[in-house]
Amino acid sequence: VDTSKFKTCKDSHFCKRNRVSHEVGVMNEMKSKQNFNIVEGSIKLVKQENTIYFDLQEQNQKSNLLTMKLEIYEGGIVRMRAQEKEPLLNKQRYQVQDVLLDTIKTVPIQWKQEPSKQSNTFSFKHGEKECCYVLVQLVPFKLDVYIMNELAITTNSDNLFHFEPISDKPQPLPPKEKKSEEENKEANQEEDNNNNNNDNNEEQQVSTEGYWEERFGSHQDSKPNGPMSIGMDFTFVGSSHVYGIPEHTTRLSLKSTTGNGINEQPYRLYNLDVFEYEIDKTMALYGHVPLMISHDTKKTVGVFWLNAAETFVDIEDVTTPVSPSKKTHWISESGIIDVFYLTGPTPSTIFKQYAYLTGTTALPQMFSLGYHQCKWNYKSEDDVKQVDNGFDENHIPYDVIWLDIEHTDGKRYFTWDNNNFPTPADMQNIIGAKHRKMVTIVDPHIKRDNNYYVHSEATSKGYYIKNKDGNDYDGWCWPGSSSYLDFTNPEIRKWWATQFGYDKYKGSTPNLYIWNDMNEPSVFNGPEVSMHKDAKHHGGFEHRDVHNLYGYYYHMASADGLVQRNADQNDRPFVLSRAFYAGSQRIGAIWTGDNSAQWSHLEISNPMLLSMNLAGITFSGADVGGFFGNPDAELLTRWYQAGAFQPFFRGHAHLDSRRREPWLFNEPYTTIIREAIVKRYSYLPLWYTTFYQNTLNGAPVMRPLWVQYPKEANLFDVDDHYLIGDSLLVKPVTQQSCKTMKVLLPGQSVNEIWYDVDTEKPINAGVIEIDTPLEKIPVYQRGGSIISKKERVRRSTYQMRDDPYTIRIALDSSKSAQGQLYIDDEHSFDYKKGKFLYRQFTFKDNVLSFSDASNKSSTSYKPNVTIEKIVILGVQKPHSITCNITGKEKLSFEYDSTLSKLTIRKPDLLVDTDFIIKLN
Amino acid sequence: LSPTYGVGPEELEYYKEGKYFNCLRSNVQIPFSQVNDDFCDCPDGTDEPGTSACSSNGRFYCQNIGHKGNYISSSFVNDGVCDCCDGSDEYQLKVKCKNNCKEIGEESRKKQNQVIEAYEIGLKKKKQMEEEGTRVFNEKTDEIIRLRKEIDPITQEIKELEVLIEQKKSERELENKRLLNEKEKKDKEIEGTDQQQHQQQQNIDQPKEGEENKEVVGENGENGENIVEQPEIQTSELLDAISKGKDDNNNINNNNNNNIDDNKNDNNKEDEIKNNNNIEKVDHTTVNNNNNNKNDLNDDDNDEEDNDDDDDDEEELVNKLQIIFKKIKSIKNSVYNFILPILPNRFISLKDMGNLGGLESELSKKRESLKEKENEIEKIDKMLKSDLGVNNVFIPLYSKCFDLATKEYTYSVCPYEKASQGHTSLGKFESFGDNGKMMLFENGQQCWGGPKRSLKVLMECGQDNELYDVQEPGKCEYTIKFKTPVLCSEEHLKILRLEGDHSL
Repeated sequence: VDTSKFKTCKDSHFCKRNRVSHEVGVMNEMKSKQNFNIVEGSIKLVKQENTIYFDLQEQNQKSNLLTMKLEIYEGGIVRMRAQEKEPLLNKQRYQVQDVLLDTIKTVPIQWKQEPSKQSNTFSFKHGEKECCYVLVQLVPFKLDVYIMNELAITTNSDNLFHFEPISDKPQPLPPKEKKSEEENKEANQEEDNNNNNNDNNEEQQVSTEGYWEERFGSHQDSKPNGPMSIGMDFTFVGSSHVYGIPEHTTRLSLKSTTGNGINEQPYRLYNLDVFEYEIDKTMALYGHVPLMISHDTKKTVGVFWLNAAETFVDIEDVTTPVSPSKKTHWISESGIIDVFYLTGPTPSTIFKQYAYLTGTTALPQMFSLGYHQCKWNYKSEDDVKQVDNGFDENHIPYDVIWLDIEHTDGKRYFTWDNNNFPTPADMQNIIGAKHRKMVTIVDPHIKRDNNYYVHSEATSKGYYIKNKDGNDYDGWCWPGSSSYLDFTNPEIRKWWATQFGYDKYKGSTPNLYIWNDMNEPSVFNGPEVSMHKDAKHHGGFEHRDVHNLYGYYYHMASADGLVQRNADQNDRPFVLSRAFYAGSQRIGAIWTGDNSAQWSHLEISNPMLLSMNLAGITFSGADVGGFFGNPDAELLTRWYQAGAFQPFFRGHAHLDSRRREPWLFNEPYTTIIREAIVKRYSYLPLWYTTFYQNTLNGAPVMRPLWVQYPKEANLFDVDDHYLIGDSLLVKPVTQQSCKTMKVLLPGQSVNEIWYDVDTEKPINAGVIEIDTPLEKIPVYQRGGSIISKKERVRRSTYQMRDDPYTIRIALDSSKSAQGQLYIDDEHSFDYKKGKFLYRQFTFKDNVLSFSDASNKSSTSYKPNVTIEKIVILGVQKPHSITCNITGKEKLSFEYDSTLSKLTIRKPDLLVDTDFIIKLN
Repeated sequence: LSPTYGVGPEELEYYKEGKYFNCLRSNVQIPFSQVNDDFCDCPDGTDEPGTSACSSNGRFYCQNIGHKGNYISSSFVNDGVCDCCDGSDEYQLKVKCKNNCKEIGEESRKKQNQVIEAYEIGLKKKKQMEEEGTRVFNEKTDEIIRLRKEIDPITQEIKELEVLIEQKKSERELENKRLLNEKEKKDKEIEGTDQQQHQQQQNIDQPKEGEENKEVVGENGENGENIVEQPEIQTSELLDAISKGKDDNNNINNNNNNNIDDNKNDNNKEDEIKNNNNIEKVDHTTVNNNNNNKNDLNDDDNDEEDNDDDDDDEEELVNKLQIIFKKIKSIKNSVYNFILPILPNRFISLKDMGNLGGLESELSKKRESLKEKENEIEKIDKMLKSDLGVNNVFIPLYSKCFDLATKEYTYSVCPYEKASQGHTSLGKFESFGDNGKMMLFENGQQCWGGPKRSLKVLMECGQDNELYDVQEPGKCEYTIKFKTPVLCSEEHLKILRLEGDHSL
């Protein structure tokens, strides 16, 4: 990466100003922290609004009067908002729209300690219990969240609350009175011209530098609204681990960036197209979720900073009187202060609380959980057919073939290169005959070509983002000179959605789905390869206000388009996006962008995806093989093995990379890659069920170990192992020439047993050392879990729909287990109308029962699919096995005493019937 | 489901009804009732020939009456996609499959016949190529023998000529000296009689040429006082200067001097070439590069160092000889020129000079002819030593080029030589690979931000030699397909014919 192309905190003046306490050598006057105090007598609870209001004033700054709102939402969420009490009429602060669900509801506030003249504090409960409350201090302003009578999160304890009031640009005073900042500036310039340096002037220049304009490289930011940044500190008391704020290439457990001699750049949240990104950097990447989760052995809490502007987060280890804590400092360039405190106190409640605010992952169509084959670029219809046949010839399942930008007519999206793709609909039908899908790329930059219908229509309707001078923004991207639609405008999103209609998108068929790239947005000749911050959006807001939302809105409009193109609107959309924001999980899949064919990039894919999963972006993946460069056979094979156990599973490669379809590396690699992909497909019922469960509880699909074992402190830093749902532990091999490795099997405190899924041998929790020949993917089923699989190999997911299930039961130390299975039509929205099965398996006291797991007592969904095999691990040999279903009273079985493995042969029970199987 | 459903004809015998069934490719025995019962019992998948239960390794036989029977993966059985033309893989009727084996069979047989026909033509052409190849091979072998035979007499003649020229030269040297002396004598005689007889007498008493010389100089206006000069020294200095300094030759302006100049140039050229060869030997001790373009005189392209050495020795000899020859010539000419102005015309032996020139031009002609033959030998030798395929079948492709025009470029492949994309080199011929099915061209033009371009020519049987289907599977790594009769084989034709028979 060319780091000179991207800003650090020092290059963004608002960050430099806010981060004063961290910067050495900054002016003394800036070092004195601002004190904000609650204005006495301003506190009032408006009952019909469930809101506490009060005014906040900066000490000795009569002008900077803020109004503050406190609310409690269902499920233990505290929201705090602050903005100018009397904002200027001609200027406005942006408040993030369309991210929070409109279903969120405040609850009445109950005082714990009412505000009074005598007291410098007041408090109110954030939950049902007396122990869980918010304590607010008036002078200086402080807000503390208590859980179980213990301090969990403090706000502004370090007085880093920073609020630059929006003001009008000072007008130059008459030339003789050189007192205003502008004048000083001019004076400075004059002096510079005379090669004279005046210390006093220089000092004043520093204090106002970057207020009303700033430069980066050759780019000028006109900053018509001047300084309007905000900042706040939150300390997670008693915590030494914070997670979240993806997307960065650092470990899952976020590193400290300051304090104790550490001098790192703060984590940056500003969606950017970073060419050839590097590992272990706090630099910004393609997408961001401003959610931070803190976890220690006692509690899990979170802070959600709802702001779409450029944001920096510093993390520091501090020692409070009681225990080590994590202090975090959040700085945003514009927008209001809008903070949600997620009070947990467990991992599962945190996920519920966050999902309550921003939603759960859209239930993916089954096909999109299969394997995706992509390359920049499959060159022609023949090329596509050959690759498609290659999978059948090599007996490798796959579901989707992708076309990158070269398939278009000159990078005009929604068009086809007529030479190489003369009959796109036929091509899709050929793919579709095997029930496979195609994905084409559609990017947000529109080629400025008057003969291109999208451009001419967008131009005439005035749908483009405007530059600071009010003209259509013109930037450079794949097609050359391009303009960018203003997706923050709902009307334009609606219009964009119509572009996906079969009548508009000629050559598209129902088998075609969409890929959104470059939506940070990427502007090759813009500042930091993105858009000028003073570009103008809908509602008079600047690009700087909405930047991190741009890709989100674009993704949203595209997905809406796919839903609306069908008359019955009953096909779940699939749109992959590179840029993302909080809430993107509701729209579609996300991938980690342009990684490299290097072992380090394979290795970091797990922490990166875990971090995204914690922040709600569960349907996510990394390009298998690495986008840039050429992986050798070993790296590619290991990458397939890792990708097979990550939520979104797609092989992709750069235009200049050598072809790397799974069969091109000869044996043993083809066989080993095939086995990895086949394994992926066999676990699809588990993936699908886990995604369904996410719609119920918001829990990550790919889960850090500490989420499942929150009391085991030795797991808090582990990010190379993870769980799929709550039952399958994976530690992919990500090191070259790895012959043996250690695996940490968690749950020692609860006597967990794990079963190697290859050998089916039980292993007690603890650290084990295993052999890792090339074909080994270390995967373990948790004792106590019941996993449903489909073990018949098919071409693609569609052909598996009617295949029978194999149920794998792994018993825990108390000889019991339980699990769920979710089934629906795998593609439509009918599940929302109750057309699904959610089944509960329970094994206890040698009895396996199968019943309905949903609250709905009956369902109209009858898939007519059977269970062909039930495998029970860790069980004693029964004399006989009986079932309560007529005609199946006696079931045949096999028993392997070396493994304590019982296989019930062909019970052929319908998956939608309740039954009880007894081992006698 | 019948236990033999999906069983191929050659395995039917193993599926005869009995109490037990032995898995075909693993040591497991199961009750026969579990064959085709839609549950996979055999680790090798052979107990479920007709279902998808053993989908990871089982196979299903489509009978395809009217077309040809074939195996498909068990995973394709009842998956809703028609894979057998008789539809037998979709008996659960998730999808209605037509039995179109008859049409497909006919179509396929027609195609197969076309393929076989084409293949037969290809084979015929291959035979022709082999014949041509063998003919050329024999011709070339004969030619090389003939050339080698021709070399000996020429070498002999060259030697003789060289000796002769040497003799002539020494004779002339002597003659010149004699003439010089005679002239001196005559001059003295003339001077003596005409002017100062007394003084001349003194000179005769002290027979030192220098004095005479001195006299001459003195006459030119210096002084006549120093009498003890040594003219011999002056002469040898002069000769030294002549033999060393090339500039001296520039003053010479007659026919013969052109000859000298030519020799000088040749000599320089040869030095240069020698240097080139030395450099090459350092750079490519084993790899041999074609030097044809650079090198008119020394067209060496030897695979073996020995040859190089021989050549070098020979060349060295030639060089030495030429240097000596040149020295002699230049001395001769210098002396000749020196005395020319003072010599009376009758002493200039133009005829002799002409004779020597004739010999020399004959020598250079002979040398040229030797060189030509040696080059021809090398060329043929290189070809004969190349991998020319079985029965020299590749010889007809030798030193030919084949073109393929695409939308963007014209690709050109010259087997045994080079390949290009328009004006861009895709590499020089490196070797055959993949058991003679591939030609590899490497070290083409450097790719921006990538490797040096390279090309793999993937060869397959065809009626004509024809390129098609260029691909760039990796950045600047190209493949192109090449149909050629060379790749047609009797064995494969047999297989094709068998397939044709089976399809009925």
